[in-house]
Amino acid sequence: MTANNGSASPGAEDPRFEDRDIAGTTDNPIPHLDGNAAAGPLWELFRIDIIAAIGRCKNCGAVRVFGEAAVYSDAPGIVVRCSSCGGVLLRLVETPTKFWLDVSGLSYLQIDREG
Amino acid sequence: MGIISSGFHGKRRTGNPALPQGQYETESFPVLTAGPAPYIARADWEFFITTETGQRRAWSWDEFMALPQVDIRTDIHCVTSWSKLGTSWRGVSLDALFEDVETTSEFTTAHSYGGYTTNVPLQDLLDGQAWVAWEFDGEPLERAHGGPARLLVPHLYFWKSAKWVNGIELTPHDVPGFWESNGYHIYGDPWREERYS
Repeated sequence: MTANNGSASPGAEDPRFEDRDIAGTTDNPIPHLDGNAAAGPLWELFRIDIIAAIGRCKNCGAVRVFGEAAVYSDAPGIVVRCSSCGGVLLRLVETPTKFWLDVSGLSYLQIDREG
Repeated sequence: MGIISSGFHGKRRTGNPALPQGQYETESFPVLTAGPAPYIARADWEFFITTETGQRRAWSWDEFMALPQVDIRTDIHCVTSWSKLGTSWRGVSLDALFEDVETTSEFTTAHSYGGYTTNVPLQDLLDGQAWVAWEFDGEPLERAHGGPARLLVPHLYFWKSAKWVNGIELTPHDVPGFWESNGYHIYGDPWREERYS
């Protein structure tokens, strides 16, 4: 049902590409960033460089490097999605008094120890 | 520098009584999204209402378009601080969709294609306060803004106006939705600046 699941090849007649403001490729209908875009705020919170960390998606089980995840930051918070299934891995909201971090979409994060 | 992107690059206009506290007017229509925009052909689209007793009503696109259509002119207010004044929409009032629905629930969850959810009290969806809108500014609603159709609840912050809306679930309790469960206000009245929980 979603553009992410579509198999059609890009083409002028494809209605998915009528909305030029969001069109790009079939798999990328709205611009998003990679995991680097979430690294700064997570470093600010935990002093962990998360880019090379390996995470398991609770939704589909994919085990991938965090840096490969899709980050949507044009939103009321940062939403990090699995690049395999599109499921939400992590949400981070900053309010004037708190950070709200939801990592319930991750079964685990494997983080290398320094040195 | 905060982590939140406001999607706003307009000018500040102070002293405008149409602007709630902390809001700025923009002429553009920023696109904010928590994920990829789903593509839903009108032939595949439906809008449902489910009740606490398991009753389910659903409308196809053609059935939805056969309902009374109304024009709406309203201001909209995004929690990231931009407001857009005097926007024009066309759609179906939730009053028409709820006409034959029997429920004792006071709460609802709006569900979108793509998985987004947001909670809105039932009384905020009725009495001419909310619509399922499919036209913006005289044109079919662009997919980026929630087309084929989105919820329009303009008296609450715009995250409540769920894009790509699929249906309304009546719930026995107020169940926090996507943003309400992670830092944002359970109700979201811009005139009370109810941004955060």
